[in-house]
Amino acid sequence: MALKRINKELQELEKDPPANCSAGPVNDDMFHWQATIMGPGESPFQGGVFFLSIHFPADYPFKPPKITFTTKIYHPNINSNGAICLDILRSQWSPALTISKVLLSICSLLTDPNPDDPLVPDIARLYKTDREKYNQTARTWTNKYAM
Amino acid sequence: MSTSNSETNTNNHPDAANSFNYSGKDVDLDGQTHVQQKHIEQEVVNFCYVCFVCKELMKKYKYIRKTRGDGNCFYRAFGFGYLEQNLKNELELDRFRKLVADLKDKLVQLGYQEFTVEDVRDVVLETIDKICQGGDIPNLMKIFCTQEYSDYFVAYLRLFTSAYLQMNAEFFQSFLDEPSKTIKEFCCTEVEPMARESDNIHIIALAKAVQVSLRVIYMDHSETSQLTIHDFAHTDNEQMFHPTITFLYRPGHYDLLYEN
Repeated sequence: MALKRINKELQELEKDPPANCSAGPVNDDMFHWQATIMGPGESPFQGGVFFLSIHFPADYPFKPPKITFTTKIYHPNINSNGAICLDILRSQWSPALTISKVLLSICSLLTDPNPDDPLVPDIARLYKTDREKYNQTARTWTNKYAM
Repeated sequence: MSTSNSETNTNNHPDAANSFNYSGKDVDLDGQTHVQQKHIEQEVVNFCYVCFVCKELMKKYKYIRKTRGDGNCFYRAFGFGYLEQNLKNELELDRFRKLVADLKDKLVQLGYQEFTVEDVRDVVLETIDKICQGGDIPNLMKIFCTQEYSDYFVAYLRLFTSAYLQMNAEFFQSFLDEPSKTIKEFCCTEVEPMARESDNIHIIALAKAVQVSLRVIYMDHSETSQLTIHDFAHTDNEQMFHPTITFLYRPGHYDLLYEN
């Protein structure tokens, strides 16, 4: 049943792709996808293309998909392994959510980090105390790793 | 129950307690004895309460069905209990099937993605059909023990609850423990995610949404001289209240009770 749902998600993504994102299976394995997110215009990630890896659990959609950045990114809620701290990927996942919705939430997270629930405390501190330096570092990383 | 009580009693037994130190000079033996006595008294009270509730329950209920304790117990018990009661009631099942089908449009109106809701709805309709075809309890049990079918049913009952709360947001807003949360936020964090436990507000909403009357007997020490019973009527006319499903609630868990 998970496979049926994943196929439907793929069809919907092709029919109605979310802005600035794309996603699809890597090879023949429908449970392993790759996604891309274009750095949002109003963020220091603008111009970058970020790759993510998506793994669907066997009991999808009752358990959330596992999504990680494979492109390095300087962000308070994304660590050096690419792990993302986002409520809907953990405790607030629900079967009514979709990959498309999750990718859009990740886009908003890039524009509006959540420094009060950080995965990388140092970046969160910089984001809160010296926004200009944070933006600068994030832009440098975007140029270096995502272009 | 009796096992856990006897274990606790063993731990409280003076010989087993490490806190006694006879060699020390300034040990307040009276104080320690007093503390232990209080512990034992509390255990006795708990044990008496359990005995009392069991005795009261046995007067009216012939057996209990244990539900999987995974945070979905209320919904799973509801789904099983409801279908079990109406296994031969075609008219009622047709009504339920129509509610299941109609919920999709309500959810789409509320902003849900059509294909995800459709996906869950179709499996639930298929499940109901399978249950009707089988027509007996062993078949129902088999289907409800099949994770996919059972979880889809739970997920859709959560959506029933969520949609009803959102469509009556103004009424339910005052029930929230955190008044700063909106009903929509509450539904996203406390209703729709799997394994999130249910409270009175969820029960009220589901009973009204699917129009099924429920009774919950609470085994939570809130009353010690009588059973604590809450009835959740699906209409405001409570004169002829008769629950379709009765739950036994112990803190954090719901099981099904069967009347004599």
